[in-house]
Amino acid sequence: MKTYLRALCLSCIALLLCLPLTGCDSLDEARTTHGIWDENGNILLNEETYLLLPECDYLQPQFSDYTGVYVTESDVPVLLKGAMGEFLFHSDDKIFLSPQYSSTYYCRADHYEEVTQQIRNGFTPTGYCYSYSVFDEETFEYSTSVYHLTDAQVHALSAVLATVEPVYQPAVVTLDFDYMAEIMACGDDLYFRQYACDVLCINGYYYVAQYTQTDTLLYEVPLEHHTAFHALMKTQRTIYEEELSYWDEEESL
Amino acid sequence: MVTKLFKHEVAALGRVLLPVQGILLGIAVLCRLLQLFEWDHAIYDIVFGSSVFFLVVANLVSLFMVTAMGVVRFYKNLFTAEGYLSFTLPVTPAQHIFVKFTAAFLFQVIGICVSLLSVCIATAGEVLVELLKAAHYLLNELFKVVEEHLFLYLLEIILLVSISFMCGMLLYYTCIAIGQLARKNRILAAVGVYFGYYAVAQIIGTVMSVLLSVFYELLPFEAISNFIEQHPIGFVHILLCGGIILSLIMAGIYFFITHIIIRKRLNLE
Repeated sequence: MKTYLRALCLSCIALLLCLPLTGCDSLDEARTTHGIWDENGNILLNEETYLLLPECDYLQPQFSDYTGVYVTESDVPVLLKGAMGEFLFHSDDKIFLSPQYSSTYYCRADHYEEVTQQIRNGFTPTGYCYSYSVFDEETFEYSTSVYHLTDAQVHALSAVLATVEPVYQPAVVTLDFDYMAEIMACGDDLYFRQYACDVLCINGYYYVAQYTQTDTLLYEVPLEHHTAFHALMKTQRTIYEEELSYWDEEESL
Repeated sequence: MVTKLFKHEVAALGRVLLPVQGILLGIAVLCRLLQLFEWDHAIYDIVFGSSVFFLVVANLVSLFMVTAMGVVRFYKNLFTAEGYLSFTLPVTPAQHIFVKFTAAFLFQVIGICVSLLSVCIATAGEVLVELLKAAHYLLNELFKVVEEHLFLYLLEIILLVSISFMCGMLLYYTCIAIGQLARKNRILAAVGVYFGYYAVAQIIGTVMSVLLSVFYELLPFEAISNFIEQHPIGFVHILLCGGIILSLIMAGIYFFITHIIIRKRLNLE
């Protein structure tokens, strides 16, 4: 009996001694979002180095789900990262980091040379796209995706801008549209984007809008390009109609 | 004799409080063992969350029970039939009071240590290491701001907390002593005295606030705020030392009242 009791006590002690050896998933997860400033002002995150990129107006990587990391000095413990650290958004492909409300970007070391080369060479758009957000009713979160315009749609857009006479409206006048898409000229990898124009739908008619400091230039899309624009705006139209039906349901309740 | 009385008091409190603290440590161990089965699922989240909730409640109960048992022991030992025996001992009323609140204070310190130990057990492993790193970092940051004053601050805070606890216990003793002056329902009378004291304290506080706001311009608020701006570290010392002195004065008053009532107006059941 004494032997069994002794064995039981020793087992309990051994188990308690083993406890410190077990990890914690929450802590491991917290560490994956804890970056550290190194002495050169770069960021060390998950054994990767992120280097500061030169300023570039058309560098706009995709940050869709607003996840981010906290970057602190090297002596700050992981539990205090939120209180002592700076929050930076992490791009969808985890290649870029950017502080909130800033056009500063840090690039992961393995892509740094490629991106800085592109910045030096200047931006050459290869297509057009627009971003859209979709609300997930199960997770109650918005997710952002990108729609690439097809060749036919790009041709239609270019044709409208080239051939249609715009209507000038004062910039102070607010356009009352049903839904719209912000068209960006982009490269293949979507890192570089430059604002091109807006496509608006007003009472079933499509317009292309460009803005100056004092005026809004409105190009009415002619009927021959209506099909292309209708396809271009399909995603935005679907989102708009879903929102309309949602609010109609709310009102009926 | 006082030493013997103290030992008996500690033993009596220990008989009730030590098992409670043992249960608290057991809950902490269970909480830690549960983390061995960490699983990314709602069921684990609910079970683990419940265990943390129970640990928190157990901590609060453990700390509350020290005060409660201290008050109960004081009442039963000095104001009920047990008082006939207590006051036959070669111990003065002042020594009785002193032994009671010293024993309660000792168990409060033990209770706090056991609470901290339960947190250490529940977080044993990487989490505890990170918690200690965070505490160390914060203390370092505080040290950079206040430098050598940090140690004085810690000493003053420990003194203030200790004296405040003793002051609190003596307040309960005073309420019980005043309550036992009643012929019937002495415990109810003691509760009434406590709430009456609290109400009076609130009224005095409100009147002081109103007077301060009415006679704002007559008081040297600007000089005080200038002093705080120029000597922030010294101001904190003044606040802490002022709190200690005030607590000591109040504790002295409560002790005096309790002592006088026990010595001159004791009326055992």
